[in-house]
Amino acid sequence: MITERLSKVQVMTITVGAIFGVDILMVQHYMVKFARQDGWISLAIGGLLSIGFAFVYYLLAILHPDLDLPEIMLKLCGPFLGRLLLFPIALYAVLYAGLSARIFAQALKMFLLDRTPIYAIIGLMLVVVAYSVYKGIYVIGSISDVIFPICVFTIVSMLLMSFQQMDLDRLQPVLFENTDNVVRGIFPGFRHFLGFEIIAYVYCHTYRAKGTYKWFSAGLLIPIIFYVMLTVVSIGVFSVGSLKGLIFPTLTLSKSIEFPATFLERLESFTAVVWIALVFESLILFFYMSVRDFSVLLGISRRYDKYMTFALIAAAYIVSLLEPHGIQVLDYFLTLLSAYTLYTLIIIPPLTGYALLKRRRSKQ
Amino acid sequence: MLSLLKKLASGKKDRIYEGTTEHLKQFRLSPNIGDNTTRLLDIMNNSFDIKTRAFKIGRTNTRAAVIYISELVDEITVNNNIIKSLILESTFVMDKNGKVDLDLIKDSMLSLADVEETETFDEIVLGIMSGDTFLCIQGFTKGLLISARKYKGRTVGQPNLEPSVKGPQEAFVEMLSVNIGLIRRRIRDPNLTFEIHKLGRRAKADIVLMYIKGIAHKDLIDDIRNKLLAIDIDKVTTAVEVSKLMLDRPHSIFPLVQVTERPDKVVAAMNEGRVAMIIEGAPDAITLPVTLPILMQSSDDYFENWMAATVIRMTRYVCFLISVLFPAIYISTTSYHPGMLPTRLVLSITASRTGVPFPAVLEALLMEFTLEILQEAGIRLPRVVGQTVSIVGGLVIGQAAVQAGVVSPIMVIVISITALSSFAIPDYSLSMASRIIRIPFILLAVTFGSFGIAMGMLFLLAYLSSLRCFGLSYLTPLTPFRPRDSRDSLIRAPLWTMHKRPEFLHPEDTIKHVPPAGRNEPNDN
Amino acid sequence: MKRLILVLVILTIPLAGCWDRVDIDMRGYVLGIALDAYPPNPIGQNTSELEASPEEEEPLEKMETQAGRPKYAMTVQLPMLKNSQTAGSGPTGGGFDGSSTWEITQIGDSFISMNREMATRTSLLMYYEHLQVIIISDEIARQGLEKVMDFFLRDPEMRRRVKIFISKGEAKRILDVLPRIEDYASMYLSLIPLNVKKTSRMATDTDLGELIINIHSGLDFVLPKVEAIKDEIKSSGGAAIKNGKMVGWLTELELEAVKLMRNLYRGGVITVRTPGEEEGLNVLEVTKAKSTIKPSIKDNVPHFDIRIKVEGNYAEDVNIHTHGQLDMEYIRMLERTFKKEIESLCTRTIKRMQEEYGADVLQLKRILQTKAPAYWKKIADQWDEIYPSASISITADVTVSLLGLET
Repeated sequence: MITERLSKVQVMTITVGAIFGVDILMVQHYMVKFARQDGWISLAIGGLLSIGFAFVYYLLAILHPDLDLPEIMLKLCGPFLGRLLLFPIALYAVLYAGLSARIFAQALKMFLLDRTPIYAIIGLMLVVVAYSVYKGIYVIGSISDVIFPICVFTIVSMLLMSFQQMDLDRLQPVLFENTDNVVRGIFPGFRHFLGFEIIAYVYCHTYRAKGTYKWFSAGLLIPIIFYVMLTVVSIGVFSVGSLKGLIFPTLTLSKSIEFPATFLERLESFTAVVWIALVFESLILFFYMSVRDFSVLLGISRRYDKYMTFALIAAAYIVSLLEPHGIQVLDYFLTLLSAYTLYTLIIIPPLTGYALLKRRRSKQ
Repeated sequence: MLSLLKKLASGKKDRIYEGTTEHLKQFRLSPNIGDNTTRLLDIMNNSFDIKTRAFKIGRTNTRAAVIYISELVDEITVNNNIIKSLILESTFVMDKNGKVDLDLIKDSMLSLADVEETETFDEIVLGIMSGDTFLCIQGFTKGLLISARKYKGRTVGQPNLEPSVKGPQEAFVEMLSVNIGLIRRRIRDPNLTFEIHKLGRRAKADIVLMYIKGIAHKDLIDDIRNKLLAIDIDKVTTAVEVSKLMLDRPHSIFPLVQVTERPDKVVAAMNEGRVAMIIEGAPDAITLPVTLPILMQSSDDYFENWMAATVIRMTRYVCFLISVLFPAIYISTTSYHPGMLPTRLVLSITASRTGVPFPAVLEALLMEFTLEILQEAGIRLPRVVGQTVSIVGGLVIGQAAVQAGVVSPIMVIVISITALSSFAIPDYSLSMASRIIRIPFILLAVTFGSFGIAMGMLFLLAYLSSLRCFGLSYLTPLTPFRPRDSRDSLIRAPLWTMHKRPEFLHPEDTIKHVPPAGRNEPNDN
Repeated sequence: MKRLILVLVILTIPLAGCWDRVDIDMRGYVLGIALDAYPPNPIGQNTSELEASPEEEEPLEKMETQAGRPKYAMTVQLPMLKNSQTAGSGPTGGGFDGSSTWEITQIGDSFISMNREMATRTSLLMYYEHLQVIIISDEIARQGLEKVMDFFLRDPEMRRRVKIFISKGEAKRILDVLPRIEDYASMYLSLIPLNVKKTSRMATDTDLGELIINIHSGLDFVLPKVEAIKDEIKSSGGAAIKNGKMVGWLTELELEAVKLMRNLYRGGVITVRTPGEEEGLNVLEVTKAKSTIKPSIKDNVPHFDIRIKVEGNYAEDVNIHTHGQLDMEYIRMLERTFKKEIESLCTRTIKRMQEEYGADVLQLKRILQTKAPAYWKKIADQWDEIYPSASISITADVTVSLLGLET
């Protein structure tokens, strides 16, 4: 009847879904390693900077309303150079997905399933992810639409319930001879907010009404607020010393909430579903990006790109199981994030500038 | 049937045999009524209930004959208004030597409403089979099909599957005319359109497409009509079968049409911009397109205060989740994560499970199976025995099993609550769907614990999001989220806020009633 | 057809193994753990040689240690649950006979190996997610808490809300108590601190999480003391922990004072001798108590100013007659008396903490770290020497608001 399109609200929920990822479980730990009790400041600054960078992507997207990012790159740089520049992005998406799945499976093993082998956990996850990605972007949009309120509500209630354990003294002293640490922590904080590039992939599928950018900004702000609040609360509850020793502080936080003798005694059961849903959503979005990237890379048209899904799922599965040491996987993940951040910081703004120039020139 | 569906789904048109009346098109009426009568009886294999009555028209010498099937016609009308009119009263119109003219008969002598001229045998046979009376007159190559039908069947009674607390207690019956009457009485809008089509090569059943022109979107109506006309099948009994043949995904576990036996539901659906279909011979009407929130609505929601209605509606959604997930949650919580329950609860569950021979999984599957047995048996039981079995099955077997130590009492509680929750779902097909989905969830819970349940739910979400019914996403308005349409989905907002029709159906006329501060909004997004 | 095969393949996964599935009645829910020290072997002797020793009563408790020497005795308390449905419909009407818990003691070197050794003695899988209390004997506490806590911190099954107690004497005895109101000693013990609003003579907010945080931050703190007789457990007073080692006991009143000063006081009573009377006592029921500690640095010496604000109801007087005499003047006098009592109690306590134990139980270190970070940076290494002579002044302010039913 009427062509199906993503709505403006879905722009927000998809952006939130892409930025929220497996690092929600670990971000406080890394921030505290750099800037100690002021880690949340680094995170906030990094987040605000990421908004600026996100809008560079947004601009690139609106300049080419019917194309998504891989097609844009090919159009702007030509088939050869475009593919060359696209390849790292495509690789990043697959590696990110594979490593995310692995890290999440490790966390799950610790907190929910003890003896289930990692390959089984990741296998089940990827099967469902494959199905969802195969069904297309509109299904992905619907899924993120449903997951969004559930996640937001649960995280907010978890934070509120942790307040009573918080001790504000643990956040002090604020910025005492710590400013250089805080500055050093900005880039690590910035890289946790990656994911907004999804806008360049989904903008061509939206209604393109006026005001989409408002929803996009909301979608960028929400993860920033949540990550920062989470860090603040974690520092308040655990203090810097303990936090340095916790691998998955968010999960420990959810386990530590207890209202004795009420049915809410063990809240982690509710929140467990939320982490699973969050990581799931992040995985399907990154898989979608990788499917589009590789399809354009190999010249497959849009109608058939869904078959790429199976190949990429298999690739991600292998990637996730390669490294036997759990700790190393975390390091690889962060290195991947840093490398990709630098790469896109170097590549994308000039690209957008070039696209703007072309637009100006063609208008004259 | 299955092979036929497959062929339909594959799009190949593979005629096994021709329709049973099309080939009669070639035969035309002969002026000799004897020939006509013989031929007709021959075509219909001399079935005993086909009545023929030959007579002379009035005082002329022209012979005429009526042929009809006694069980389908109103014999009194036939006798009085056709035979009697022609034999006796024709003298008022014609004199002794007057020429008998078909037009004269048709216009002046037959005091009946529905008279049609006909020439070819396919129309005649179809007409007689439908309950018309065929009149042929010596010397004329045209005949008349007179509709004096009287179908015998049930009187309008109470709904079986969809009882309502306060609402009307009328339900459809098997006769199309009665059903249409039930609907017409409720909407006196001239835009209420009924399109009749014939469906089925052998059955040629009347199927009626109903909608309100001006509210239902034109493309939707055309789409449905085209799909309906494209159906190539022997016979259909119920409207539900018809719907299965029209859908893009006939194998979907979740129902993609709403089947109802209540005229007030059909009327409400049409008022929203949906299309309804009803077929001769079955007391169910289907409405298209349908979404999950629509299936979870019940007429009773509109008779109560909006707060009560919202609470009840949310309870229904929770019941749906319980009916699907509860056994799985029980298994995953007790076998995998007892840490999720409060300590005292864990200890009491453990106490009640000590000594039970089967692991929790097997218990769950056994009880699930018993539940299905009970439900199936309950449908087929004669009413007199029904009470006994429910007592025996429910109480005695359950209690005895617990006391013998075969199952734990907690399991009985879990299964009972699950069963009850599945009955709280308004749509029967939807509750069937929930019963089917329960089992994969149990298997997932057995293997992966609550991670499996979470994955199952996400898979279900993806599946539901991908279902489309005539272009409409199954989970509208939950996703894509439309705030304007959400007033009647999970909640039921006060009636004064629901003054516009739901947007997702893109109705052409958006305003139901003038709102307190009226504002006209464009349809499209 | 393809889909059918795929579905069938996927369905075989459950057959491969439900790796984590353990039926609920196959787990042993550890409700309480008691850690005791086991007298260490004389060097050179092996465990097995001790088996023949006539003093040994519990041969099953010993295990062959792989690397270390058996130094600890861990006792876990498991509930024994009988199915009341099947057992209960017998001719006698069912019911428990005697103890419904099982305390298993294991002697070994590392806690997880002791835990696993218990698998040789019972079919139940030890499950720690419902652990309520951990009782550590003072002997181990004096040796150093951090030495024994790693297992409890690292294992994901342990919950951070588990309550920790220090027992005077053998910890195992606490678990052996047959309580009158609860079924299990661990549950009984875990519910006692919930009464914190009634009395401040027991230490609260001392769960495993807090313990970890304090140890990792290098702070000193107090853990509750617990002792037991045959069927009752009492938790009052505390143990002062300095640098992760217990250095001494705090009496009930000292604990109250510490809680007052650390802003952890939730409720309780303060008794004073009526001024001018020999035998008379006045009692104040405290409803609100708040304290603030302000550090100030003078000549490189820290000075802490503790202000305590207490609000309460006049609860009782003993041995004197005040009926009808409680006017504002009397009340003000009472407030002054209470104030003096609080100040003197706190001063006494903090002096003992400083001089006798050297334990910074008020966590003044943290005050300096947060409120005077520049100074802290300078003297961080010397805190242990500075603390015993730090000057602390205590000011209290008492308000008596309600009087009950009588004046």
